[in-house]
Amino acid sequence: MRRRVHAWDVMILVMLAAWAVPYFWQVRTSFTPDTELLATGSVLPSAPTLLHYRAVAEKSVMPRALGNSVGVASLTTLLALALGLPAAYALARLPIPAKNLLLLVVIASTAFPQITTVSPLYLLLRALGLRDTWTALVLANTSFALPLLIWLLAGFIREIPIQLEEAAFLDGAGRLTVLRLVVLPLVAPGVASAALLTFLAAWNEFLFAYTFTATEASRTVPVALALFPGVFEIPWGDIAAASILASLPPVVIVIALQRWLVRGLVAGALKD
Amino acid sequence: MRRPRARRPWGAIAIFLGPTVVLYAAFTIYPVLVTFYNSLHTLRMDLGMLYEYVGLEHFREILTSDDVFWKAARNSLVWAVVAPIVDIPLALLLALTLHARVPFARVFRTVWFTPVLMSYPVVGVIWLWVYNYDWGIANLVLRAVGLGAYAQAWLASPLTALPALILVTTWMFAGFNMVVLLAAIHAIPSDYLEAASIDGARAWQRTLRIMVPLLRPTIVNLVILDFIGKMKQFALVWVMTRGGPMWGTETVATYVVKRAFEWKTLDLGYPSAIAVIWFVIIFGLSLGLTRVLQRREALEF
Repeated sequence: MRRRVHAWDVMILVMLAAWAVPYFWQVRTSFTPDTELLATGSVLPSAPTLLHYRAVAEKSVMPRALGNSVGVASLTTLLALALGLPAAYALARLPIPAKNLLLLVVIASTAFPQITTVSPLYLLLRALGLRDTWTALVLANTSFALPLLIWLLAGFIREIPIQLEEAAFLDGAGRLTVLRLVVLPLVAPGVASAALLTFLAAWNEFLFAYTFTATEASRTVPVALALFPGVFEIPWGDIAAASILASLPPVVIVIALQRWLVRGLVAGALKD
Repeated sequence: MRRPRARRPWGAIAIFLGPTVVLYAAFTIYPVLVTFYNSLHTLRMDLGMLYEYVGLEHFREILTSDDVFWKAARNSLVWAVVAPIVDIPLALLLALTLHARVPFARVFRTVWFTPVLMSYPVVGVIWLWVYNYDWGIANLVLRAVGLGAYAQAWLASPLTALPALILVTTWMFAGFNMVVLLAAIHAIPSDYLEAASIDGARAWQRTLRIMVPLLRPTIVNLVILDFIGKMKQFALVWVMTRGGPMWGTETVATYVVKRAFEWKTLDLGYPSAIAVIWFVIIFGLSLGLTRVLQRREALEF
């Protein structure tokens, strides 16, 4: 038994090291002066520099892109919740005709490839005059996020004993009141995890953001990073600094709210 | 327990479901229908979106004479088949390891889980450094241990580029799969395992014969999610290789985007037809996969 435990320990350490190497390289590159990058003699930079971070903060589009990403992801989350929560309640509780067919469509649409919508959507948004705006990304992302969100929330709502709502109805409460005062507080943890998943999906979304944006007015972090200017040679150090800044917000949010996220992931992956 | 209702509350249904249906119809269902319609036409973007009906001509051309499509389809399928085979067992191994009460489990979980939060462009950029010929960590390690002859430009050869990208998605998603499996392991009633150990089952027997079968529904769902995700792969390829070298990492999604927005072929009909074909294939294969994998699923707890 002792030997087995020992083998586990070694394996874990190896896996941990293997997983952390790319992060380490990212951090290392962001603090290394350009002149030293290509010298492969040492693992750590001899004179760590903050130049790359300063360049990104002062001269690049990254601050603007961070603002766009925060705005688009937050508005997407709010709109998706405002629309998805009542819809999930309706699917969970109201006698809707062909309800099972509807739920099937909802589940099936989580397998939609974005490429089936992207070019008509581009033309539609252009016709509406929304090209290169936050609104375009919020609408497209919300529509894409809704199926999973509704599916998760409907599952959470079904777990609530219906008697609580019926008692409120008997006391004369309307449906909206019941949703707001009875259902919402009880599914709050589920709502939090669904909101977190929606936020992360919007934050990381690439194809829509890449296609529907044209300038830094609406380019989000992933697009800004993919288009990072490298006119004569690739500015690896600046890109490293930008990529670290770009991944900080979601990583911090998730580490802070880990419990809710895991709940949402499990619900999403476990239920049929 | 539900009170019988004389008539459906249409007002409430409309208020609760209406806005979602309108938005979803406008920004998802309508574009999908347009794509199906476009796939039967040639759209001349240079002539003010002039539509010309061509029937199934695009489909015939794609399936019979478009070599790039077949390469892209092959790459996407290889990715979608290989990734779950590698990712899910690895994630299961990690989850079982963390479940065995190792010290610093929280740290490990965070380190393994973080990549999935960093978005494809960030992950892609990081791995460009790992694979860089001159100073990438992969070649540095090979040279350091005396295998410098094997050092190479990993993303520049059609032979190594696709496996290199598949490894990146494994790095990115192993932690996600692990967290889900870990939660499912915690949900297994402890009496099952206690009963088995009273019956004299060893630790590895308990794991293989009891835990893994009980985790089967979760594993099946993760495999299908992984499969679908890789069939749709776009962003990572776009950032790291743009489909090269020699279409060695071209996926169907990147090919569609190139044909629609980059090649200036000025025809939206053809890429729409590719999108339709791929849409049908993803749906068919994921339904089939669900059927096959869930067949023997009788265990409930």
